Amino acid sequence: MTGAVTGVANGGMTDRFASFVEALTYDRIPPEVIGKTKEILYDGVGALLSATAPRYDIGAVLRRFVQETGGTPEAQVFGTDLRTNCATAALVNGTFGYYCDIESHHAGAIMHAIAVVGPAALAVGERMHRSGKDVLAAMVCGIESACRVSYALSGSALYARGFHPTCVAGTFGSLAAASRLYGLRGPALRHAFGLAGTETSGLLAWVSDDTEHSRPYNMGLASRHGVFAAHLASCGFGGPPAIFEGKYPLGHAFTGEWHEDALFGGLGTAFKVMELTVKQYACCAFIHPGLDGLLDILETERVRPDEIRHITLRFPAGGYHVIDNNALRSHCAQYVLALAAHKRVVDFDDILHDRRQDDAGIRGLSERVTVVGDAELDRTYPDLYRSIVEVETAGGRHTRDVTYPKGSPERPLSQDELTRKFARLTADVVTPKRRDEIAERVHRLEEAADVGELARLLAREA
Amino acid sequence: MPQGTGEGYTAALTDYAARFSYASLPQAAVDEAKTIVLDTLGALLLGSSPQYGATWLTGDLARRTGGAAESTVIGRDFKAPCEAAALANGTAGYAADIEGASVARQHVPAVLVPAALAVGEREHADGKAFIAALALGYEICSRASEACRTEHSYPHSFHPSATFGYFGAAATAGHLLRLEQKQFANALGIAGTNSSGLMTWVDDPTEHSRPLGIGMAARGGVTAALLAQLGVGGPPAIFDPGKYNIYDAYAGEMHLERLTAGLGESLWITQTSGYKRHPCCGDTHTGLDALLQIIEEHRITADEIASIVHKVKADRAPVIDNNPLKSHCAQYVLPVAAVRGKIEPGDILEDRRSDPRIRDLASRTRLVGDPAMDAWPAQAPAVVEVTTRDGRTLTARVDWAKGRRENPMTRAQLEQKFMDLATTRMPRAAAQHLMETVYGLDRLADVNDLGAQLRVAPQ
Repeated sequence: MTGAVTGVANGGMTDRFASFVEALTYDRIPPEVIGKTKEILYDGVGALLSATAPRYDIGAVLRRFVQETGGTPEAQVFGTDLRTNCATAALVNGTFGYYCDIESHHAGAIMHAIAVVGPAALAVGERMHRSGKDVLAAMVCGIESACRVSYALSGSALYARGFHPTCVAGTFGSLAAASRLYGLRGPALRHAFGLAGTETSGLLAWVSDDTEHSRPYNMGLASRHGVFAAHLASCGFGGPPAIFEGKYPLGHAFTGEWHEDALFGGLGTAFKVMELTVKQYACCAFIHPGLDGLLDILETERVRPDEIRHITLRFPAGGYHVIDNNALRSHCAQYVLALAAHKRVVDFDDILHDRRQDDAGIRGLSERVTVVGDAELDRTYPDLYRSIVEVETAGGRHTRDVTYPKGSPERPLSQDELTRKFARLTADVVTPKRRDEIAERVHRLEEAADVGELARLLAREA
Repeated sequence: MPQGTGEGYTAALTDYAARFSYASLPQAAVDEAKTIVLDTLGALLLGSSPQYGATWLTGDLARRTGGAAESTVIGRDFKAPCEAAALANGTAGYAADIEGASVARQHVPAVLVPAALAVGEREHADGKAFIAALALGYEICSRASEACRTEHSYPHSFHPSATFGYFGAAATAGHLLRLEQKQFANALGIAGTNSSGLMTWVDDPTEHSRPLGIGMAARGGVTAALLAQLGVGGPPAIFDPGKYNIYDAYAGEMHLERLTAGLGESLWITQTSGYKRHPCCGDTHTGLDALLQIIEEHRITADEIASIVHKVKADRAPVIDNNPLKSHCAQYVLPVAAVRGKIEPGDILEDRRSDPRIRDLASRTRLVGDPAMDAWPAQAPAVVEVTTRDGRTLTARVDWAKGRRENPMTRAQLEQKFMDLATTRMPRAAAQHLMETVYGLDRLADVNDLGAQLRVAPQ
């Protein structure tokens, strides 16, 4: 545990990290980092908009919440015709952002950064009439902060106590992005970090919630916590000035760990956004390497699902319990692998609706899937979700050892694949014309004088 | 069946919550509730003063962020959405650190009275529902906190008043929204995932983030109940020891039997610690009383004091030892009391160490955590040893501070405290009328009649 020092310390960890957030302007960010950030934003917007499709109940519920509460109309609630204050917009848009669980994530940090950071940056950017460049730089800062705080706390230690890394650490992502766009500097920025720390939260208890509401709500909370803390600090509200150190630091509360090297290693040169994985399947990222392996076996070995006697998924011992017979279908390897064997895709509708109920083949196969915690695979966890999938048929065994899933930085999706994913996700939400306009606007975001132009495109079409 | 429901603790508590009614309350609980509301409204009015930056700024924020005019922002002249009002008023509740009736490690009424007021106004609830909502909130947050109570304070450095306050506020709001059992379970689950509030405010010399944690809890619980009413789902069994649970997260221990012990037989609202006489951290009160007792008994002045040694339990010493927050700093409040004869709200707002007599005495005041005292039955006893310049050592031990349940204030003293605090924001007659409204709370038709009396026009 680093840092038993009380009080503010110039040059202390919080101060140094805040200095990074202050200094990272658009001009200092390499072009390939900006390019990847736009790609991640585009993909995240598609995932977010898909949650607002009328067939999902979350949209109507949160729409009514915004209507009843109201709020100064300064930021767009995406996929609706409603506008409200930034904090409430971040809460709702952040919840939408993770609802379909199909947006990008950082494997090592266990961090769905864009679901939290994107809505925060767009809401505050819109309110403050910031340029596309400012918003992109804010998002880069936000993704850095979210991922690095998660590493500093230790994502696996958060899991061990039942905390949701994307919520607990993600708050620092929305905070950093929002702070940039509110123009916070100096003590106000350090106070904002402290306020975000004292409000951040997020349990993994949602694994027992089969409405699938409280899972994405955590991302909404993280997005709002950061926006709210930045707003408070911008009004002159004080806070703990050194949240990463001090008498009761962040690490002590949430994990009992604090890894200073992870917070600062490569800061400003090795950008975390470059390490994000774009998801192909609407389920927990832990299962993606296994799904790639399974689908490859089915395709190249020409195995029909009804020929499968047994599937064994070996997963790092430190995390396998998350996906082993989880009551949440999205986090249940038994369900997802059986589903994919039959359908070759994993859509969010397959997560919402239990296909085991009306498909005896999926039901039967799901009972023949075993998840095994593997100590050897643990050696690269949580940086990698390396998985070994073994399919047993009458004709023999087929095995695939997958380290990098499709969509990971090592095996990226093409622009065309990204565009097709966006179209599939938003088919029920936006017209093809609007879809193209959104793509165009995001791809040229650095040219926008006011990010509000993009926010308006994300409103429900008249 | 969802995971984690097998133990049935959440089911028992939410069944209790959904059936909870004013009619089931014994008279003692109703009487205690009125006293709590009276004492807390005094604290809220004082805490709503512009000098308390945290309150004033959260109030400003409520106006800026806009929305439905549902609930009074205390000490201001406008209403805001009930969540925003809960935030500002909860922040006011702990701003001056003078409110009492704490229990189970928490400043309960600072969270729950604002939550009940905000949702009560929104729903046009009557006074009986307000009282019952308060009592139910006490039950839930006390039981959650007790189930997470460890031998040592703050094992994971979460602030219990905030962390468990979310659950209490959700229960209070849930009663006023007339939630059904399943909605209560969702509300408490949503509150749990939002629950936070770190002890890190001890390093914040602005004192803004200290009360903010209380406001966050009030707002978080209110939001959770509103969402549950709209149909948002949550972890359905937040108090049961599922795969991921609040015990690992917030405590590192679980004491499940405390969740339901005596449920329906006795009420936590009748077991509070009593009321506070000094506007500073409760852990300093026994030391203050002991010091004032020595000064009075031996008729000494501050100038005759060579040094002060303030002994407390070893495991409670860190919070009040040289804390940069004046309200939580034994080395500040004791010298101030020695020189000025008492601690007033202004002594916390302004640094009296500008007075050299206080500054010097502070440097000669020592806090000692005495492990031998850890076994004493009283919660936060103190032994104060004053050494005089002429070489005498004067000692006093106080186990329970004046105002505590074990050493109560009289009704007249409580009313005097309320009048002193309320009249910082309103004329005497208005404060008197407010007190009468509180005494008649069980006959009040609409909580808005209470809220209206808490609005103050700008000067």
